[in-house]
Amino acid sequence: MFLRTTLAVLGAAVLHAAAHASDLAAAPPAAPPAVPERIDADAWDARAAEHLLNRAGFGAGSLEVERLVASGPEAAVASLFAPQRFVDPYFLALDETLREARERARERMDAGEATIEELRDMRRRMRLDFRRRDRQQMTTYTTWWLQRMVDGDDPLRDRMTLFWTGLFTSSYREVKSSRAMIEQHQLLRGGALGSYADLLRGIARDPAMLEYLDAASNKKSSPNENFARELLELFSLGEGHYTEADVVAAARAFTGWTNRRGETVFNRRQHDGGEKSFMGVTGRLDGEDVIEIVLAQDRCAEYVAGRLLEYFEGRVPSETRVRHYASILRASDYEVRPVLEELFLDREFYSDEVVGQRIAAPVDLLVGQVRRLGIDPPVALLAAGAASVGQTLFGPPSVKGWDEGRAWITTTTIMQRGNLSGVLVGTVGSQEFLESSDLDDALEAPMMDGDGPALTERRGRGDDVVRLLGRIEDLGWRPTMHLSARAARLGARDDAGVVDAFASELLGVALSERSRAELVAFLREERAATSLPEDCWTTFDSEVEYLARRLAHLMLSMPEGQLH
Amino acid sequence: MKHIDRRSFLSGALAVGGAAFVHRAHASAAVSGFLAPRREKLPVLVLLELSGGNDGLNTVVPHGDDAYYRARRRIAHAKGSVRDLDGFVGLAPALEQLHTEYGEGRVAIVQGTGYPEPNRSHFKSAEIWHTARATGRESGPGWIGHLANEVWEDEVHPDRIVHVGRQLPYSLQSRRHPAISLRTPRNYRWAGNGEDIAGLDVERDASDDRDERSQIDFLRDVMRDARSSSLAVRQAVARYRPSVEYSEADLSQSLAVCAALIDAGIGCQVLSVEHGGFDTHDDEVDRHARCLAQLDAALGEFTRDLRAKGNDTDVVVLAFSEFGRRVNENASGGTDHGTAGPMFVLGSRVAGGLYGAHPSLTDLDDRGDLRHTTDFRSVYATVVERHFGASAERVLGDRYRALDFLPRA
Repeated sequence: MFLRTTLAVLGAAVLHAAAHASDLAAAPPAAPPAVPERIDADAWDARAAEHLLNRAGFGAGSLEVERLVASGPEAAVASLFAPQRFVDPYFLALDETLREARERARERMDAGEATIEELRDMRRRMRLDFRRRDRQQMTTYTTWWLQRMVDGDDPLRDRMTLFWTGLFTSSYREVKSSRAMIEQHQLLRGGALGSYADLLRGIARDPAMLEYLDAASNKKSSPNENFARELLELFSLGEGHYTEADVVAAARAFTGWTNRRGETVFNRRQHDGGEKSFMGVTGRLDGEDVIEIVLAQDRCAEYVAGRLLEYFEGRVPSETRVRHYASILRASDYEVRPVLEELFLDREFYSDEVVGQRIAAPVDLLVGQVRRLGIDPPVALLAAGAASVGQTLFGPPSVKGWDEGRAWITTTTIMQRGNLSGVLVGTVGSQEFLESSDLDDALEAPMMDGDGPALTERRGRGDDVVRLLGRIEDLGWRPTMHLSARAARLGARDDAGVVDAFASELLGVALSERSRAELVAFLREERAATSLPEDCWTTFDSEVEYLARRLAHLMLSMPEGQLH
Repeated sequence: MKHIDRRSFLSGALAVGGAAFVHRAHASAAVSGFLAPRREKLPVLVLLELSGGNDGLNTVVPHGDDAYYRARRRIAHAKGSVRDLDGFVGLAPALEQLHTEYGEGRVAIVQGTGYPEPNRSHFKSAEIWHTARATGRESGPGWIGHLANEVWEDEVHPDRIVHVGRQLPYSLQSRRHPAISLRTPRNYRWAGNGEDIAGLDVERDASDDRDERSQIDFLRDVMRDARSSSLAVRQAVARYRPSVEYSEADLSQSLAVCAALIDAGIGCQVLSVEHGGFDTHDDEVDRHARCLAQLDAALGEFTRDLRAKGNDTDVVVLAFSEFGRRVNENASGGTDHGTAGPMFVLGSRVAGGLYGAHPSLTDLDDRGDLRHTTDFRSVYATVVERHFGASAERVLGDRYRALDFLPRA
């Protein structure tokens, strides 16, 4: 606590030290850049509004886009910071821990004088049971969150939460406690539009985070060193902006913070209270001091601003823009709202290099398609689908989060993404989809003790999608849209009209001339093959609807369908 | 074990008839795949991951060591039932075909493989094996990704690295050389609208400069690769006539797909399959025997099939597990997570035999587990240098002494 109380007094000294520290890596700061230009009212059209909804939210249909156009850019951006409707927060029951369950069971067993084998058997069953229920809760929460995205009640909050989970990473697979993961998520989601500094302070003592970094790292060094390194490298400054000595000093400062029964407690006896030198500041620093020193670095704001820009624009930002947005972040004491407000009104944000140029992450893809198609599939299907093409919510591949952009696209995933679109549109059912072997059950590996989440993963994400799809079909879910009627409502009378109408409704980006020509030719050939006349779009029979869905499926499988 | 005949294998794997792809004008790439001549033989590696932590001591059994029998009163293999190799160790009873193959000099068994500061968590240890680095995934691509960067650099071939199974293992993780991942060949396609996609024109219209590609061009390129790759893979399997009867078990079917891909010569050079069920905390005798029996049958089918077709000369199979198990049995008729274990290398070029030293059953580490005697990365290094002719140090990030189970290039 030493530094906190004297920080205000020593503010200048700290900043001097901080500037000295950041000099180690960067050139001296240049003159402040010119203020970026704002998008003006004339340029605020449907393309701009849709782009904003795609990036700041998860996409929207044409009605919502029109409303946003009408309200003008400033009001449109302002509306993103308030929820569209209020939804009850997730209810996290306080359920008994595994230890408590075992105690209860043991009491019962003692009364009946169980044998050692029976006791062991019981314990194993309890553990497996506990893991299963824990996984179920994680699934329930995941679907709750995805439902928020689909419903779009607070799109920017959910978009920012997704961003924060990619920065402050944790994984259910390592943490093994749905409760801890959910509480961490609620910290991030609750503070998603607030202050980065508060999030950093909160995440630094989050039980799930501490467990994850301890479990996720292989280094035999002290657990605190892993934490200190990730804190500096991934959460606040970025590689190259601190020294190994800083990591060691920070690790010492963080000693004493331990995870006890799901809560972070400070154990003074385990804390190294000696003198440390961290980023140019010397003293008997503790963990909180380290965080404040980090926050005092110019570089910290640059790191966060850079990550935000890269995420929202889908490209590596220029140093000038990073510095500009970093200065806003700093001036607002790390509140992200002013940064976002400025970014969403920045003319560059609406430039050709940015609009329609971001490869949609799996969650963006599926939620966006669901919203534009106007259907309500069981959200568990979306979770399984996103996982099958590389994005498992609450399960990033490593502490670095997900590899975005073109990394989402491989030969396997580009086909699978198209297949998922087909599922949503209703042209791909479990029969046409991935084959599920009956032998799965016969050869299924028994649950690995203590590794509940592992088994689901090992069974393969493809299998999850097929099984889920089969179960959903048994329950009778079908997408209940009427695409041909929609085409008619939008005034489509001929092949080109239908293609244009669907493109504007279903795609998040403009259709290229080439693709448009392809799709028109496709319609013409298919109509010829099934003897449908050109004005068939006003007759609503199943042949026409089927063709409309095939068109939608094809369109969503194309390159334009992967972008937003 | 149920066997399916060749026709069932083919009809199960075949998805869409070839005609649909030929009549569209834009499927030229697919057509050339159809008629391309067989390529020259390239080195092929088949990675076989035994997941769950294979009990090495009950696989390569030290039947000549009394300590083995003292430690495992319930689950040890009876002396007479072990298939002896050198008087000290022998193969588990279930590994009949592997034993025969060993007798013909085509199986190298590297004993006591592991790494320093062993990790007994499935995920963490698997990461180390997958990346060949102590820091696991944080270090970057999988080791095959590193291999690909070193051997092929920027020359990317969509069919080169293939995982046949459920989930792509991190070993194959690579940004520059992404791997194909398919459960069955039928999965590896656009479902429902494959014909519609086949009719699209996804040729490039802009520059050839890879790095400057627009997003749309990049996506078109991947679509084009996916289309031809999906066709090549599915045709390879559809046209294949296996010379053995593959059983219906998952591993056999996966290896059958690998055999088909190798035979078709479409450019696959690293194939990966997985066999699970090795986490035998209890009931090990039956469960382990079943796993090994399936392994033995599948490997037998695969190696015989390759040999019958003359495809075996450039193929090396490498079987490994993320850790071995403890020396002492536990109270549930099984064993818990341990450390070192054997690796198996199979192939016609392999100089068969026992390599490395069998770890001591009495001089154990501070957790009471086996001390490894060979770093597993030496085995990787041997494959990298002597099978692919690449720098093992660059691929693995450090120097490891190669072993002699493959001849020097």
